[in-house]
Amino acid sequence: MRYRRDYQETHDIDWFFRYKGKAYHAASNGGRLPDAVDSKKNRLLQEKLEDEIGGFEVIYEEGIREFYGQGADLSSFEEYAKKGFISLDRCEVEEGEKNDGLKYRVVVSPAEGSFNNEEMLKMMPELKEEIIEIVNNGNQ
Amino acid sequence: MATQRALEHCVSDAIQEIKRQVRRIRQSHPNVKHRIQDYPAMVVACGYKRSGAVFWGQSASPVNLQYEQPIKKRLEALAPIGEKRKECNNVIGACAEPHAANQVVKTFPGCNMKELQFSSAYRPRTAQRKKYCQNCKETFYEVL
Repeated sequence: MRYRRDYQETHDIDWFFRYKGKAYHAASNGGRLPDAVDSKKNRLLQEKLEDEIGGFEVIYEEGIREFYGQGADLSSFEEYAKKGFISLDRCEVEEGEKNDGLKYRVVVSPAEGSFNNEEMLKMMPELKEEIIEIVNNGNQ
Repeated sequence: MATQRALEHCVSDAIQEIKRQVRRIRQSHPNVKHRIQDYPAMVVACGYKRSGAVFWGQSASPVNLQYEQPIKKRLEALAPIGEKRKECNNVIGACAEPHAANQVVKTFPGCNMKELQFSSAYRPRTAQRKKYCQNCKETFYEVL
């Protein structure tokens, strides 16, 4: 089952996917989610991941703290990176621009390795390049 | 009188409460459709100058919400509630601002809309300050 469109547009949903052999976490920031994201599985993943202990060392993208500004709380991204996810945030669009894009920015990643719980990985949709655009902070 | 400081304090408390609530619900493993286990996209506080009362609101679907008449009238002047217009990406009535203001109007029926006060708008996840959208600027044109 999909998240309702009005729910997607008013919430900042943590969602998860596989892409090119790695596990990703993404913060939707009020944007549309891909059709492949199942709300029931996604909620279950949020709950299971809450119990996971994060042991990965993490690296913040260059310039990302400056991008968000002093005092911004990036801890929710860091938590998922510590659990082995490359953690993304949806790029915001300008007022009046279409809000349907799936363009995401890397915030923080594990220094080495990736989330490897097979059971949970199977619950995540695998996305193709044409579905999502992932940019690094310097490439916008 | 609600001061800007009181408004910012209220919204800061709201952000902390939202974060605690999201974590608590996820840890309780409900996996139930109607338990909110996601951050709202935005949060804002709204106060009524005359009384000093402050309320906070979060972005949420307006579909099942009955807005108080003064707010409803202003929102519908832009477009039907629940729809979008080309000037703004947000659905009419979905922003945190009308949700917060609705509580003021509900508590103080007949209040003067010119006496509403808003905190800055924030994204709870990051606690970043955000701009008010075009819909909100037009709805609360005297104060935003």
